[in-house]
Amino acid sequence: MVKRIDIMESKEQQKWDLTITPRDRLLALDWQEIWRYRDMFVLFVLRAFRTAYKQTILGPLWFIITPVLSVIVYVTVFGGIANIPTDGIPPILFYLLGISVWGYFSSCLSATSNSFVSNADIFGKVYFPRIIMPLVAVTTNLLSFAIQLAIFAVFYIYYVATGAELVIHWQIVLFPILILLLAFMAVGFGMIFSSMTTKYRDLQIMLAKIISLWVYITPVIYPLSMVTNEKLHMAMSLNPVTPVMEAIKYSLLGQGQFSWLWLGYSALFTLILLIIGLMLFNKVQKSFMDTV
Amino acid sequence: MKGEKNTYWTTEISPKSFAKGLGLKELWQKKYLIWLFIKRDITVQYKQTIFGMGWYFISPLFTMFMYIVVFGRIAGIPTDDIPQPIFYLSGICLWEYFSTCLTDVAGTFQTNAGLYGKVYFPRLVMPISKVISKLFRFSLQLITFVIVYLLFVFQGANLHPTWYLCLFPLLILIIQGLALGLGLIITSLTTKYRDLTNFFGVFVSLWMYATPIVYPLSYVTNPTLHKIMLINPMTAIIETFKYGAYGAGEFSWISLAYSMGCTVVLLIIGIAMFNRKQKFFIDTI
Repeated sequence: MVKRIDIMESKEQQKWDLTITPRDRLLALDWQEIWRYRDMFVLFVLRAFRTAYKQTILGPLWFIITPVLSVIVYVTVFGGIANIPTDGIPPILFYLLGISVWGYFSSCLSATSNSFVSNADIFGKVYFPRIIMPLVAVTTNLLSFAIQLAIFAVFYIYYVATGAELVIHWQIVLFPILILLLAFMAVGFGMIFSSMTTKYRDLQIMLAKIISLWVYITPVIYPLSMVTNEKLHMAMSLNPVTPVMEAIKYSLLGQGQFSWLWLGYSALFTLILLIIGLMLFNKVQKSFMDTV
Repeated sequence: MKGEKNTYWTTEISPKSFAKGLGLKELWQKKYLIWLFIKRDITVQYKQTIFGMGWYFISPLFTMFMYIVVFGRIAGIPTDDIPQPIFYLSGICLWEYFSTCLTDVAGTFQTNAGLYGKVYFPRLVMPISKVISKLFRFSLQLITFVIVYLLFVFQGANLHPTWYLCLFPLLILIIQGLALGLGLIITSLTTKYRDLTNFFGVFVSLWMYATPIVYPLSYVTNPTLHKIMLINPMTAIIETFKYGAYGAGEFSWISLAYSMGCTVVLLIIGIAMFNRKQKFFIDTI
């Protein structure tokens, strides 16, 4: 009898530090909460940096080897065998920039889209705003992107020193904004995909396929100017990554198509993606643990 | 103390020494287990999915379409006078089988660490069943290829299948051996060094470009480059298949034999490394 009263009492006195309730408003993004969990964000980013080179043979050297190897293959196959022109830009610079920018976008996209599946263990055990994971992915991928840009800079200086004609346009000041746009686009797409992959695993395989094919309709291995067929040109431009890619190429290498109109289209596309993505993400995070 | 004397084990598991060979005998005894895993793998390939098996029929067509646009239309790479869809599809099907097998085998220790840590069975069961179960998916893609092929034949396309098509089962065996051998080497290396895993994905996608899939081998006119291409053991397999299926491509017994030799060597090294690693990998993974 006494015991029972104890329980009753304790029930009344129960006080929680934190109450986690499923969020009902779809578009709600609790910035305050994300800010409160900033230490978690920082820890995850640090963890990702550390695991990138701990327990490795070559350590951070991989960040250099992979892009260089990719460039060698691209130059041999697309430049050497297929004879695809590069708008008069040294092929190494052309491919290196394309590979780095595309690599950043695609790795952000695949990390975000797998955020529920690959973090299911930790999501099932502790609570923190799930949106932190995509933000972590976008931040950590900046590291390898920065290293690749540094390699690009080295080659760039080499080519300038040997007398190649390279023009830099003032639009280069937009570079950080363009990268941010790409990151948001990846997160938007990724959130949409991640909310679907929790239930249907084949979407994960499909997504990997989509990403690997997407690169072909983005001017990475060929310049957009080479697409002379008008319909095809239009179809390529509808890909929201294309205007950003071309704008980056235009500002850094002097060749490419810079168009405010198409960039605006990309930005609008990204905004819509983010809104839809956030809605789906919020909806799924309530119940994904049961189907993942 | 008394209990110790009475303990009786049904199986005794000890780290295998290399002297016991590649452990193939034990593997043969456990063939029912391979069969079990194959059935499981095939089931998960279409359960809890939206499109089920349909996706496997369609997916090579997507890739084919993209290749036609980019490599056929934009880059204008010729295809040995073979209709582009058939040319690309043949390469895509074979390459996809190879690359998915390779990726799966290369992740053996990592993906099965949970199971491996709990029960004992010959570890080789896992990669072998993976390679076999992927045949299911491959055959669906092959059906797509055959349908497209027949469509073009009825339209009177210039396709001349040769008797070398009979080598097809052998080609599949070589692909399996190659994927298994190389995959086992990679998974043995990656238990300790995680960075190889990241590198590996890039490596596989680059390897495809070094294999005549988006362009015919005959298009590589530079003699040095041509020789380098032949070092790649996948080149001979793809070219043999193309030669058998529609009479275009370069077939030579020497390069096919070279591919087989590569496969056998890689397979032996792979199994040996895998067997050595399986003793301790659970500590470092």
